Amino acid sequence: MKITKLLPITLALLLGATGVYAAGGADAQSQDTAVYTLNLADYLRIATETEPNASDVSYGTEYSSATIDTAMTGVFKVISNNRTQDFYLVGTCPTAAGTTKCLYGADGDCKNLKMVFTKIDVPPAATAVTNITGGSPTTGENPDAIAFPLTITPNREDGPDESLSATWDTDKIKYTMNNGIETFTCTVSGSNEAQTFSTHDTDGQYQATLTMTETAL
Amino acid sequence: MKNNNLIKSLILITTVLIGTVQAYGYAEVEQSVTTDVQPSVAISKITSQETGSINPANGVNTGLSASFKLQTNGTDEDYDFIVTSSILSMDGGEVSAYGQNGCLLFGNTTSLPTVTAIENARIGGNENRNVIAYPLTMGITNPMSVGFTNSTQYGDCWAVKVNNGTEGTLTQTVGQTPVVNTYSVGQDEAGAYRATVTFTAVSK
Repeated sequence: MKITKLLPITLALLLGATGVYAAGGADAQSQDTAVYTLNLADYLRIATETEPNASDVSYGTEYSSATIDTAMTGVFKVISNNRTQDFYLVGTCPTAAGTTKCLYGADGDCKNLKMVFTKIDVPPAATAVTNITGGSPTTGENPDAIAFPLTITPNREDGPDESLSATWDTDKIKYTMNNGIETFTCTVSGSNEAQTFSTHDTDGQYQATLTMTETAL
Repeated sequence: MKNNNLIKSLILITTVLIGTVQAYGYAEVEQSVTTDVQPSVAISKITSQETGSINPANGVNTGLSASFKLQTNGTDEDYDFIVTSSILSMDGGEVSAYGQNGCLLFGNTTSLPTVTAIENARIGGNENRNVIAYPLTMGITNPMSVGFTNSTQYGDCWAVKVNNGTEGTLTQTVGQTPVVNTYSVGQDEAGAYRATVTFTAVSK
């Protein structure tokens, strides 16, 4: 027997021993598979895309009203790959207690509400703020605290569909959205809310802070 | 008498020896053995890294690969050696997971992509929600060769030619950087993404 005949026989026997041998024939075959799996981790990024500007305030006749000269606008950007993502918009202003929640008066879709500003150098008592956010302010009870209208305009920049929902949650806005990219333009402008500005409000700088956050502060 | 016996014995032994030699010589014949060896083949995965993770900030994955051992005494006329792939869609079942230049498409296993999204990723578009494509490279030991092709019989596949080789190792490596336009943090949901690759020898 020639050695050239021995080699293929030997190879055939070896293949048979592996257990995955497939002999020749019309439907014979051999195969193996790799199943690749990659895990895409959760991602959430909240950033301030545009810092709000400051503005002077003009007084009405006999110090009867306060009007913001230049609308103050800030923009938040939220990026998420989660199928359902919750996050919150919280407003705070300085008070003798540290800070106090200062948003109130939201409408049904939380696009129009009010925000209280307080004096920075000598912050008022927290009650000056709660007097306003409670919904029935009286000027004598909220010294150095002034409320202005706040409008929020969401805009879908990327994502499979528009799925944003906004609900009022005690003292803040709760947002829920599908994966995507959303911006929120927050603008404070116009004149003071009734019963929140008077000679009880001394001259100086007033401040309020908006915070977009993953956790309910 | 003793001497006669010795002589007779010697003669007898000589005769037996001669007789044996003669008998062997007569038994020698020409023999021919014929064996029909069928082509045979074996494919087995020998090493692999089949799981990893994706950085959601940029879509870069941690690296995947697999090596397959191919043994055969058959030829390219006996078998088609092909590497096919599949991805599960929401509305079309399993479809090919190959895109341009043989890149590999991964689909979200919870929120299955549509066939439309898969087809979009296949051509490098940017409307491919829950599909992420990565480059795929194939290497194989000499004298075998491998290349990406579109076969009328198998569709998109990587085709291996053994080129009369009997044993080789096919190594496939999934690139770490996603194909341009196929990863978007806003479009691709968090979760597991999967692609299946199968190396098959098909008898002709």
